[in-house]
Amino acid sequence: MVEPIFDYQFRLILIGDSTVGKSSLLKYFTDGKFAELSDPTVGVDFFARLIEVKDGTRIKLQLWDTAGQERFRSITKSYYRNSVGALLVYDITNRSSFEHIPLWMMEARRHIEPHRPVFALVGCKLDLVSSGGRREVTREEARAFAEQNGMHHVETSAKTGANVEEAFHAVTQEVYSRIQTGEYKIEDGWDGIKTGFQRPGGLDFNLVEAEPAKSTCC
Amino acid sequence: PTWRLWGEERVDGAIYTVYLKKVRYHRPTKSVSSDSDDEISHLEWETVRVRFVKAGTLEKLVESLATDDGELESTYINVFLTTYRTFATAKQVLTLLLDRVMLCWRTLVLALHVWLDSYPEDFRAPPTHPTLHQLLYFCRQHLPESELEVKVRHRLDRFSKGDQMLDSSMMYPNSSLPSFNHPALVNGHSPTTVPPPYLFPNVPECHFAEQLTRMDMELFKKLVPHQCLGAIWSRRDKNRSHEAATVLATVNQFNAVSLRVISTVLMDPDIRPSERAQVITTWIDIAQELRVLKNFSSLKAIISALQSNSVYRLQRTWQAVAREKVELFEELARIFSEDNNQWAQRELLMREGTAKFADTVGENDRQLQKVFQRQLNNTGNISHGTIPYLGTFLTDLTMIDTAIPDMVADGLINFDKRRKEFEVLAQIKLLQGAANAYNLPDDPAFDRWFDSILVLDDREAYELSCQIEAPAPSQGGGSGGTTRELRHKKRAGLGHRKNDSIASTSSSSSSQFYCDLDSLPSSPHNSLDRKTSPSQMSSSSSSSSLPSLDVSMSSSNTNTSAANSTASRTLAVPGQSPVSKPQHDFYIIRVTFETSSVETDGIVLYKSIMLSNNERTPQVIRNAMLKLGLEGNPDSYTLAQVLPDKEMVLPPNANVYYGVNTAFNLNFILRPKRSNALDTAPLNRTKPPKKSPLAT
Repeated sequence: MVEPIFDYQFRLILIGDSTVGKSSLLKYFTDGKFAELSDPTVGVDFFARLIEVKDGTRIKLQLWDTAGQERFRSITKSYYRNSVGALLVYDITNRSSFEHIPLWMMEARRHIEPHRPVFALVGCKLDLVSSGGRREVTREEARAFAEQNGMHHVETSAKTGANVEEAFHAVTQEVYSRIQTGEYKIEDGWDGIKTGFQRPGGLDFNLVEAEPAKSTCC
Repeated sequence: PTWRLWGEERVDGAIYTVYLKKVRYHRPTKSVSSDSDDEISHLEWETVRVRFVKAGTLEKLVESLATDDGELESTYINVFLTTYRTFATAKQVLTLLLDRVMLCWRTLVLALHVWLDSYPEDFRAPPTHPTLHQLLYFCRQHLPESELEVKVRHRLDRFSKGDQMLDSSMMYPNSSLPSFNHPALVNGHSPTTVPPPYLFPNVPECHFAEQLTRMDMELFKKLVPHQCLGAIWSRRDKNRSHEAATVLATVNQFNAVSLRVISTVLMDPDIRPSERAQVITTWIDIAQELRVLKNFSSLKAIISALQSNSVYRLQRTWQAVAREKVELFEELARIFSEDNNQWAQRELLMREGTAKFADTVGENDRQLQKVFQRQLNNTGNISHGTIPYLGTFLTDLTMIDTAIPDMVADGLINFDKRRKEFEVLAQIKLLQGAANAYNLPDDPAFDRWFDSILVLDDREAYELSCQIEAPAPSQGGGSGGTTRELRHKKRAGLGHRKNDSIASTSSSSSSQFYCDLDSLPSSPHNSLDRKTSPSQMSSSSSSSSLPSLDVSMSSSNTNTSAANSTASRTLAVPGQSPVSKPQHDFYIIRVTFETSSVETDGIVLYKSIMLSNNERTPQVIRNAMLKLGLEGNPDSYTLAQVLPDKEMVLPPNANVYYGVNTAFNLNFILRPKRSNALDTAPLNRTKPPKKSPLAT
């Protein structure tokens, strides 16, 4: 696979309770390429996609997800530490998944220190509510929590694709802004941000240059 | 053999992928068949068609179990039986199968044999086991006195006997349950703790690694692979979450190990950094032995614990750990690096999964190289099994489940998805087989040690950690520039811990929240900032396992969260009080539960809870009940401190903090009040109540 050109690489993680829809979100964002990559021996939780921020700078997003392992107390320091941002994912129809968000946030924040991670609060399964399902987390309270913690909030559906792009874009744009203001710097030994000029080492065979998903799927 | 994709074939109700396979014949050896000159010796190879079911209706998929179509791939029945629970019940499959008696008797009977042998639990449905009876009826009609009928009868027999045993054990709850579920007292009076036979960190590392492996192995062998399937474990289907019990058991053991690592490191806040470093070093040594034993589950549990925030942040302690031990720790941690989809760990499993012993090291793994060198020199004919870290498989299966749809067009069941899942499950099965190679002795003393270790929840662990080493002033933005100095540590004598909490909130040990000391607002008057402080969340109802987020949403002066009886508990927002005045002291106390039944093996199980200085008896009892997994009314229990020669029963509404006798160990006993003794028999032990209220 030809290495696509990019200016920066950001590493983002998806965290939240099990069954909130992290992997579906990721699946939608990587536009079905996910399916072909779902061979465990090739790489399932190691996804990437190129997107552009406002000034046209090309960013390679590396997305990490440990769905299925939420109940193990196993997420290691390096998993958090080597990321620059985190999508805090909850299920709009599942109150307790929202109540656990501060826990996930704090865990991530402590581990990512001294770097200050960019967070976004992402509600999932909006389509269930639209189709008459019971909403257990109001948009207002989620928004209030996000504002208090200085993060972007968005409600998404991985089924219709609503706002999925926006969720990832918001984090990416914010990370990029912090680079421009000088708050973030590329550092040796930290994989949160890398420049695209260094060729990523190792077996970087899973890069997928996906188009934004357009149609609904499954 | 070489495979070539031929194409797709569609029939009514099914789609097949057809491959052409080149099969080479071996020339028959002359000596065996000496006089068969006319055999097809000239034929070197031929091409055969192999059909893979790609998708199909349930009827068609079941039918394929018992066809005599020689072209069907040979693993079909294995894939089907391993994964069918995601799209059908055993009863459905059996009914369809028995309907198809016209097909091919030989393969039908074979399929039933395989099913019964491989997945007998599919047929268990107490009390009447209707599915098994259905099969028995079928055998009597069509295959009387056959091997199959005998097998079915035998199975029914065993199920019925098992049910009876289960019934009787319900009547005598203590007779067959493992003792560690039951905190027991010696002869029901004058409880004394049996001194733990091992005193961490002065323990035999190799033996500890073996014992951890024994515990993991028992669970791993019992693991039912298909419970790992995304649809079941990831509870996409919530009604079926109970079906993942064996997976949950593995997760619980993993967490139990991890929590014990954390608590042994943190439990004594007053020891010197070098002593604490010795605790960490011992765990690293145990981890090293686990690597040799190829037990990646407990190995990862230890690594994760040492990398948990509460432990990892103890810089002064880590500085006191010998350099080569830190190096060894880093080498072991690299095994679980997430890089390249956990390539390192997958590679190790591939190479060593079914090998006799561990021998794979990276070129940078200097310490591990030495370890394996020693191993090679010391032991001639070792043979170990392998225990994988299950989480990797669970993630793979979750991803497969998310990525691939259950159905394809025309409403056919997507069997290709199941084949993909089967590949992962087959790996697990392979390793389960290899796990039989372990030969590890039981050590009840180790089990007692394991059970005796107190476990801290996240908040307790973090508070202890901060007491051992003060958090650094916050670095990032958001929390302003004020530096919160750590208070001076006050030492309390007499062998128990009296802690200056830096920001101890109420002592509800059920709360998983802990104060986010690092990012507390600088100004106590900034109400907006205070609203965001997660510390407020920890004040919520102690009867739920998790606090409600509403608390953080309510404005700070109308904090309505203290809706329960603990209204007297105050919320500690550290910024609001003078830094120098320690006011939220707490003890860590240990509580055990007296069962009405008497067990005599001398095991006393204590659980630790925090006791803060404003807590009264009912609240402490409530906290203890939560920790011990008891349900019911706190008023029906009494709490007493266990003193060397007597017990001191706490008055119903005492301030426990000031009431305890600190001259002795802070060991407590919770027991049902006499009139209620029968209601609170051990059978009432349940999990902590699930949180479900909606705030709207």
